[in-house]
Amino acid sequence: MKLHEIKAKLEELIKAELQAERQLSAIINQQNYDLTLVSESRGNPSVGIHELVDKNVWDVLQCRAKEKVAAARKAITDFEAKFQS
Amino acid sequence: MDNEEYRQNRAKLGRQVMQSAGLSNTEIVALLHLEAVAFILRRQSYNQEEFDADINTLWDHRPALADYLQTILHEKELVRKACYPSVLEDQITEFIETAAKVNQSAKFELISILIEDDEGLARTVINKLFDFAHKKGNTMKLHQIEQKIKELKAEEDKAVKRLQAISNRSKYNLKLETISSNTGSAYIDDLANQTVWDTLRANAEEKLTAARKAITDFENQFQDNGETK
Repeated sequence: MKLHEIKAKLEELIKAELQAERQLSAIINQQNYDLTLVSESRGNPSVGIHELVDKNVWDVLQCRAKEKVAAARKAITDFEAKFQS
Repeated sequence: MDNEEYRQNRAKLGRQVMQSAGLSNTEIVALLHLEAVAFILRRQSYNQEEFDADINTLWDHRPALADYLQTILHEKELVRKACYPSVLEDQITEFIETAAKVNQSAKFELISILIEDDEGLARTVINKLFDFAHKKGNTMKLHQIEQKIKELKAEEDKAVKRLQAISNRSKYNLKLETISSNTGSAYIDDLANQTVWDTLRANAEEKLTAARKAITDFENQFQDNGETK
């Protein structure tokens, strides 16, 4: 593996970890956020759905976010382990 | 043409004028009662200043007065229309504009013919109208109803849009939008599984049902004998 490939892979892994942590943080601090469905097409308004989310939904989202953070961190550890002598 | 025939022709003409303005018979009766108030006041020994002040008071309160008249008349249809003051006011304005085109004395004559048969009722109406007009707390009633209708419709529209968006979720991204400026927003579309979507959909359907029930319940308040509960 070339050095620039290692660097790119590392950046990719760190970016994935940061994204997962941001998702988890937002879910944990749900009172500071509005859950919104953002339209992909222009001119179509976003739709706020925060009040539709009950505890069951937050629990599922949080659980999946934690799994994602753990997976991201494991991916970094696994990658680092390749370079252990 | 004798005097009675002349009066009857005048009454007929007046009704035709108002019917041509798109008013139903019931509405004509209600409006004539309002006009009767003015007529009786004029027949009493009010001076012009007092008369104008009283008429202005009544005119300022006409949406509420019309509502009260309709309650007196026990006309369900009119009560429904009274829920939309702008419609009723447009009709009253149209009536006044139409009536202004006919001879003013003929109009008063027409009113006198219509109420002289039941002056007791006319006087009762006048007294109740004034009592009602002076209860300022009640004068906003129709506006409050209109506001309530707007709120209920907005809630229903919101519920429909949310359900539509959830049903077409492939066209949307799920995002936690930050309220404060200190933290960034986060897209979490990839975290939502079928359980999440099913729950959101069920909750959205429940909200829509509740919004529609609220509208039905509100409408039902106006179904009994043409009177509000």
